[in-house]
Amino acid sequence: MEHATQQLGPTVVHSASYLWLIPLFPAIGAVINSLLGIRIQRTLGKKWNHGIAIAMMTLSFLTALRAFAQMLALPGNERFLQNTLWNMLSAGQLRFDLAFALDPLSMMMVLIITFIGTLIHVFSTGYMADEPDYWRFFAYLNLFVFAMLLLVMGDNFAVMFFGWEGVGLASYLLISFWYTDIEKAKAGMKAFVVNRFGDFGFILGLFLLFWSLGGIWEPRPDARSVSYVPEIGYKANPAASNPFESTGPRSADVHGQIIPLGPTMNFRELRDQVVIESTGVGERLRHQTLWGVALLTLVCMLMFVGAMGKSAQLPLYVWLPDAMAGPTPVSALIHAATMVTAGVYMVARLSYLYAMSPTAMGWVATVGVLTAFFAATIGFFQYDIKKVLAYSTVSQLGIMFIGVGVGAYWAGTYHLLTHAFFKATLFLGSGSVILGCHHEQDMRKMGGLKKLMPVTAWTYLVATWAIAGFPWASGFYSKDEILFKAFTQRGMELFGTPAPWLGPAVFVLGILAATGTSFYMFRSYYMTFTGHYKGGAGHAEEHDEDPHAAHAAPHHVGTGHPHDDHDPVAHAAPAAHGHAAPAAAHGQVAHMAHALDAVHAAPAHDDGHDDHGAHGGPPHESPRSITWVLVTLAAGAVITSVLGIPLLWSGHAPILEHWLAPALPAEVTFLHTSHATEWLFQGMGVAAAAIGWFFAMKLFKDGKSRVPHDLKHRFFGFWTLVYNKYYVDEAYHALVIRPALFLAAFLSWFDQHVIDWIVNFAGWLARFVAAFDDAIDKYVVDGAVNGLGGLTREGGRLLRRIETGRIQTYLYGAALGSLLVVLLNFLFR
Amino acid sequence: MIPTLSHYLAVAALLFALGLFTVLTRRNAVAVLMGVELMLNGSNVNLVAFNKFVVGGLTGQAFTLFVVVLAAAEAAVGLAIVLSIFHTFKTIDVRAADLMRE
Amino acid sequence: MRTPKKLIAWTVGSAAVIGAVGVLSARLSPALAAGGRRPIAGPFTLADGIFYAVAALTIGGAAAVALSRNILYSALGLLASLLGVAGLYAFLSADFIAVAQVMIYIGGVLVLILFAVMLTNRIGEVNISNASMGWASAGLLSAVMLAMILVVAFEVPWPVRSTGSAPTTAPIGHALLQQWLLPFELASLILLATLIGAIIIARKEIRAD
Repeated sequence: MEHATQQLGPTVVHSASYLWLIPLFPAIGAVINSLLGIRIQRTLGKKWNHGIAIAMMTLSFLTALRAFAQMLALPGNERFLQNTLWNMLSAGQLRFDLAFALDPLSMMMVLIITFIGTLIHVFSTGYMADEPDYWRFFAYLNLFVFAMLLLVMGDNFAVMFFGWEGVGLASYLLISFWYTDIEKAKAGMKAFVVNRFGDFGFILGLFLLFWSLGGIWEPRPDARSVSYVPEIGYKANPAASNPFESTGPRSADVHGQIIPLGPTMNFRELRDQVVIESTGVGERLRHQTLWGVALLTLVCMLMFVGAMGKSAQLPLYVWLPDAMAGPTPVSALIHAATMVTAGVYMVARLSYLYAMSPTAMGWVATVGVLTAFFAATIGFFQYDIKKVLAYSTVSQLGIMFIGVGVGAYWAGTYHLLTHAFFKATLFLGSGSVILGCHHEQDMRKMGGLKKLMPVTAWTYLVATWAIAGFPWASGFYSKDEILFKAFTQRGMELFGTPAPWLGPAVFVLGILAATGTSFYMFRSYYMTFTGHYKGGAGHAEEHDEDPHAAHAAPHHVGTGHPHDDHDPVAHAAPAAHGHAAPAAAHGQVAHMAHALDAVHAAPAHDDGHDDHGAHGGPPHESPRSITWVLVTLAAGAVITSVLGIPLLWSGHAPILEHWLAPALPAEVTFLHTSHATEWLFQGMGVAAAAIGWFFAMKLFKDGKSRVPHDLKHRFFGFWTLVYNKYYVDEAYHALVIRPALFLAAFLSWFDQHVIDWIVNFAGWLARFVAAFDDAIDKYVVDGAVNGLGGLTREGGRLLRRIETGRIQTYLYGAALGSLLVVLLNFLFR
Repeated sequence: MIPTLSHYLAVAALLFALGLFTVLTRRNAVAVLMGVELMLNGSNVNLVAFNKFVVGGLTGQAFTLFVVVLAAAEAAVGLAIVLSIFHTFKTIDVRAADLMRE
Repeated sequence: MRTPKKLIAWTVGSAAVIGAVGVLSARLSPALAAGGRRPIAGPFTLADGIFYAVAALTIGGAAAVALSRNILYSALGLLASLLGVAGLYAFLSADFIAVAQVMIYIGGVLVLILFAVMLTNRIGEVNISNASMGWASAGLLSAVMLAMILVVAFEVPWPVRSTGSAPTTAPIGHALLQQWLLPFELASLILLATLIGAIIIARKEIRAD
């Protein structure tokens, strides 16, 4: 790895005292809606609930724009806004403030979060209109945005970690928003628990980083396990003759600027001391080992475990598909656009650490590409439109991790940006479709919606175009840049072994994943929007073919909720539903209300109209609040491509790369290639997208082709395997949950049989010994004891006079004793 | 002349001795507690005085703070016990509470 | 002891005692410890006067606690004594401790003690019991103890050095949260336990009534 060629200076900080307002506004909204929301909803109406929430989001967005304007006015390398509120904790060397910071990277994230967040709030007013707990939904959404803003704006790890956990909480609350449905509550719990595994790794990495920056710098002769020889640089500061003498905060002097050294929680201080070479910190971190493993690699890999949980990478991705149980706007905001990208953001934020460890880079890129490929193949055969998008999200997150793994940090981050737009469009489009089709999520029951829902169809097509990677839509630029950089990266290592082949291998798998992405996305488009509408008609025979027995055993058992995708009972025989008669009546009322009001029913979960038959009617376009948002986001998915037009096309570096450069100080070398190669790779990207598109069109357009059906039957075993997501959930069940339960059962058995037996035996033994003892006692000991007892009693009678029970007596004793001690001290000095 | 260390030590010693005397002579449990408070104050004065004249820094003062806190805790519990004794024996003579004696 | 005049008499009397002891110690101890290197006596300044007044208040109050037969006067004596100690802290440039002394002792402990006095006596009863016992032995022991402490205090050559006086509140705050963090947390735990314990002890009896 080549070092930075030009000397980087310390971060220049500009204070911006209003930054705290950005997260404050959503927090206010969350507090108002959670404390007073139910009252507002009853007395003033739902308008006020979402009015408050959206107003807060808008204010937050406007404040972010203000910060953006201030940042734009600064010179490129000084774009760092900082705002410290107060010191939260300072104990020993650990010290952190409640402080916010914006650099170009977090600025971009804040703009994404507040902009898309606001749009999704607007979308939710249409989607959740019939929800009885309307206030709760908006309170949670605002809470989520607040936590997410803390995550990206935190000036130190503590604030970031607070946000990191906060988004986990909000995600949990929103996934199990309809908590009366046990499956949805379980999905929320699953997300929470799986994330906990990741967070554990993250916090371990954090502690390790803190420790590696601090304690062991002291010359400790007894620290044998640490193979680092303290050779504290202070190259730039010869005045500090012996740095070991002082235990206080240390610092280095670089070109007249004081850089604090030592353990820190602060991103800026960490960046300064690591990036600026003359402090010697970066060099030291690189050579330090712990139990034979490079410490830095360990730190990066542990922190990436946190990213694996939060950003749904192999093998911790299992929670994300289940998280689709939440309302669709939630899936769009949290599980596509923002929260799941937190891991990518974290790796980009710590790019200077990752860039120093080729093993960590290889690890990130490998996990990313495996996830991308694996999830893309699962997406092939899913019928639930949201599940397709969920696996697509997992796959796209993998692509982002390829980017930040191979060192193309700006490209990974750019893909984060473009993905936020097109995936939000796709999710909200699917939400619009689900709403239009009366909470139907099965794509086999859709079709032909293009005529009925033109706006949704067109925006969905644009977003599909973008995700598939065709030029002039944003996905092309970001994905191609990532894959091209992966191909030209030859410096990665795999667990300490140099692996120059890893980059090209990542490229090959990545381009396959891209082909797959194009295929299943166009498949979902064609199945949903072309052909003729198949809703309402029973598809019993196809359901019978589904290997339901294997389909995630714990799912869909005993739920009476037809919008829970594959429920054969409710689909095939709606009349058999227990609430058929009242539900029909209710459905008619709802239908009349629906005729009066364009705003349509939200997912029904707790009252009677969960009955499709009675709630029929053809699909219809969604209200304006939804279509307007869709159009804006789809436009964004195209317009953001401007930010990433490559050097090859325009002759200057992409706008976003230039913008992000000061925030991503890591220098990673790539193979130099000719322009022709670059054109070739772009061509390959387009070709991959086109191939996927071609097959999807041939097989699924208008729903006429019988080929998919035949193929399915020919390769039924393989189809079943993929359809059931490679049985990963079942594998988890068998490998993690079952052993845990078995262990518990075994321990219970062990307790009941072995331990009890031992206890009983001990009891019996004790009884036997006691009987024996009794004999001895009675005839031998008693005599002695009685004698001794008499002696003791007499002695006690004498001594009792001392124990008066009065404190004064005791105090006399204590005082006399202390006098005696002093006296003895004087005497025998 | 400014008071020296000895002045404070003398005052503290007197305080301590008077507290000791109180504790030793009183039959009233509340008064006994007062004596204990006096003794604690005597030692606190010592702590702060040594801190000022000999040790420097803040260690003595920090200790004094902890002693004050513990004295407050002791007073609260002690007085609760006194109330309890009063309710049981209808007196707070410390000699009365000797049921454990026999 | 029906009149507070007795209390005043005690206070003045003991003030005389402490004054004597203070002056004596000031005269003697440097001579004993440092062999007369320091000036035996300086001019008697206003600060000295205040110091002696504060010391007299302290000792007088303590004497009232020890000797008064009415427990109410004892409590008042304790008030005077605690105030005096707070004054001594101020003299020792321990401003935070002085304020804490006033707030915790006088604001908390003393009020608590007064409550206990009120709750455990019938107010109407003239003879508010503060009987005592064993004067002779107690006086002897106390005197020996006092002598011992004084001997130690004056015999040991303390390495006196002058330290500056600066506001201590902020440094104490830092010290409590850094150097003394663990004791600090333990103290809070003890206070919590005390709170609960005191409530439980007192409450049980009320329920029994």
